[in-house]
Amino acid sequence: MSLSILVENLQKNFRIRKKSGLFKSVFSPEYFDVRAVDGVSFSLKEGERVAFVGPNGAGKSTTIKILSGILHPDGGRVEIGGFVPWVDRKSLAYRIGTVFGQRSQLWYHLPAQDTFELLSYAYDMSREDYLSRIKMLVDAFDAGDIVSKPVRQLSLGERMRCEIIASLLHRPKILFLDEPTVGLDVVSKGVIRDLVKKASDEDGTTVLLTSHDTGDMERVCDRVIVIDHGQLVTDKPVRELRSGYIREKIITLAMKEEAISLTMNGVRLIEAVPHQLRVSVDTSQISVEAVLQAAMKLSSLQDITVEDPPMEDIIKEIYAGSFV
Amino acid sequence: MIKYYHFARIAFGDHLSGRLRIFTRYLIFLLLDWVMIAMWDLIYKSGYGPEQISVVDMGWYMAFSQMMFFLSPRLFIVIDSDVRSGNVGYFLNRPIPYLWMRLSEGIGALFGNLLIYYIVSVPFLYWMIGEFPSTGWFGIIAVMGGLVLASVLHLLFQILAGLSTFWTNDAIFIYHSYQKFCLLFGGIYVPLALYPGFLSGEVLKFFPFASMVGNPVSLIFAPSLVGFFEVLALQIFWLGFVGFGLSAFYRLCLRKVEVHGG
Amino acid sequence: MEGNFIFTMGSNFQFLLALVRMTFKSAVGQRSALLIRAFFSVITHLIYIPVWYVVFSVAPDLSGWRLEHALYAYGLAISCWGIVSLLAFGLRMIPEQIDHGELDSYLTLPKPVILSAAFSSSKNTGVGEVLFGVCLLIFCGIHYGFSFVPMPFFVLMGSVVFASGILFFATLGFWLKQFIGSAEEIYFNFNLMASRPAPIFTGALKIIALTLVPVSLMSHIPIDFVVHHHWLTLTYAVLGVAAYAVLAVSFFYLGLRFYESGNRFGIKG
Repeated sequence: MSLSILVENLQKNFRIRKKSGLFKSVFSPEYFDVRAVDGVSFSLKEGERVAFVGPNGAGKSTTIKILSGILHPDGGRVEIGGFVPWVDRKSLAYRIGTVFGQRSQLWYHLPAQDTFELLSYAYDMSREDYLSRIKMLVDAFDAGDIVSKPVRQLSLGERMRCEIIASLLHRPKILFLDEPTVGLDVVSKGVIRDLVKKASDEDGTTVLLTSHDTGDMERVCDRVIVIDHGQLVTDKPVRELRSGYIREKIITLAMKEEAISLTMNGVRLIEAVPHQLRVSVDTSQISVEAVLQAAMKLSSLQDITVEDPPMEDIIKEIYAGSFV
Repeated sequence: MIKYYHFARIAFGDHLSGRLRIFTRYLIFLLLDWVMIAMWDLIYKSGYGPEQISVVDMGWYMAFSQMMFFLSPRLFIVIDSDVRSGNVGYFLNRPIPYLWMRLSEGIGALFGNLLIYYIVSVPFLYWMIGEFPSTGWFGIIAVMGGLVLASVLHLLFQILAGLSTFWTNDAIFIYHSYQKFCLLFGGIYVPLALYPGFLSGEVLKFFPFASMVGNPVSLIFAPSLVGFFEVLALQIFWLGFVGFGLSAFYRLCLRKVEVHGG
Repeated sequence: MEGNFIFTMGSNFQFLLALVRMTFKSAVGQRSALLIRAFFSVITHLIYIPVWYVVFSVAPDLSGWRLEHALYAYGLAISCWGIVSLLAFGLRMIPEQIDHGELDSYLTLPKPVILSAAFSSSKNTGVGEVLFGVCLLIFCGIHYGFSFVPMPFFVLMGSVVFASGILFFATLGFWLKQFIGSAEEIYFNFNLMASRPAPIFTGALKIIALTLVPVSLMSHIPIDFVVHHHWLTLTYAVLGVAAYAVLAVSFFYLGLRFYESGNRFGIKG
């Protein structure tokens, strides 16, 4: 069964009480609606890996919770392989896996393997199927030593590996990950990203991932949906986001000379140390080639590196509205 | 002292903004009152009512004795949660002791409840009981005055129950135990003066439980300035005693503070 | 297979058994403070006996309700409290689970949310409460001659009523934030009310005790049966218990539509 995701004009409001004077708040309180999700539309094909990115309060988690059947929307349409998540919650649950970075599905005082076994009953897996699947996942996630320790004794990274094993146990067609790398150190983040990508590659699992960390979307996803204030800001493949939005390149030059001066329109000095120069080039004003030619005239270059600016800067600019 | 006042003031506003919660809790209070008034009504109808107390006065006694538990906020739950989550540790570097900060907040919320319960309850109780007590408004005001410090004392016991989480991992059952002690020794179901010989009411009235319920609420039967100040004096003694004990207990608890770190 | 009713019920039951097994395993793993809890648990319940002794020393017979009935009612109430604490402590914690967004992971499982929410935690003090309650019932049987035969059934029936009552009031947590404190107060008083003399529940109070806070189904009607053997009343009570359970579960699922998963606090505004 094809499990594509279709979201049309999705809306979710939260009712918040207005701050007012004591007696007014007691006897005639006023409320206002905050639109957490305000008309978001997008679709995902089976097997796609999409990052859902946005600043705090943008509506990412609310959207993912509506898609996984946790929250009821106030308007719009969602279909996942013909299922409406909040109506067909149970049927859909067999087909999706979820990881919420800030909430655990593992039993705190027991080893993770006990939770896996409980989940095998929740997903009606046969014993043989469960045992072979868990062996495969534990091997793939190199988690042999950690699944038998009580969860409370695991580090955050180890716990997250177990969370992902739990979410993949029943071979879900879609994996929803809500900030799976939040709070992790650099090494653990890398491990989690690689594992999610590998699992998705092997089983063709669709991945929808929310994160603040641009590394998650660069290392795991093919496409990025940016939302802010509950509205869709942009929806592009990751590489297009780079090529389409980047008007800046970072050039690092290593040279024999101790120092050179590259004073040109569109070139901004980032850092100058003896025998090395780092500049930013605004490609709308001057080409990279022209800058390199000028540099070669001034010095004997030993090494040249041309980089895109960090994805984080691109996303920051998208939030700021520069690229909308 | 001014900072304690501000904690209390903020808690007062915060408490009153939870209208639905206050309303729900008030409904429970009314239901319990109703049951207790009905129980004593039946006792009088069955011919067992004490001659020296009228059924109406007994009704008001029952209503106010239930009220004491509803005037204070459920502070032990807050402290229990602070201890279990380790949040208590994050309050230690503030220039206001955690213990007295929570007490100030409790008193702020208590005054919110006093405002509501005292204003709203009189007409409701009159409607349920059918008459004002024989001692009239004087009796009602004396009880209301006596219940203020009683409720502060109850807050101190709640903090004690909350801090017990350091050893028990759960304050709720400690609180339930304490509540049952209040039921027996406080004179909640039966005024202390009517207790049978082996549980002498004359002795029990010197216990802190009686200072919270039986002593102040008994003012409904015979209010007098002397009686009121006697109740007040005993309450102040117990506030000092329990407050001092609490402070020592808190210092003991601090040795067990654990904060989940990275 | 998913749509097959028998398969669904069977798999739900298997899941429930696995869940209860896990809950016990987890509770056994947390042995800390068990002794102190057990001690206070026994004290808490023992202390209530003299309370009733005092009441019945003032009024020995309230329209046929005497000390033995109060003790029997209290035995039932405590057994039910213990059973719910032991097996379905999660019910009591539902308001907290709502506030902390803990229903999220249950909502993404293909099993009824209520099973996970109710049976995924246990209070080991429940053992002491069940034992205390049962001992009190046995004492009533021996000392006052009440029949032992219907006792297990009444404990079961009362537990369903009490669990449903907890679920019903805990569900208010979908609308009332930080409701756990008030909810605990309701559960405690619900249980206490079950041991109040049945004859005081007349008129509107009787209606409340049979509907919204059905303490009569939990203790008054069973005691009436023990004394008078009114089969028809008991039959109606059993139907009432089933209806109340259905009402509580339906109310919970209604509340679930308003579940905010803690997101309200995460949004700007």
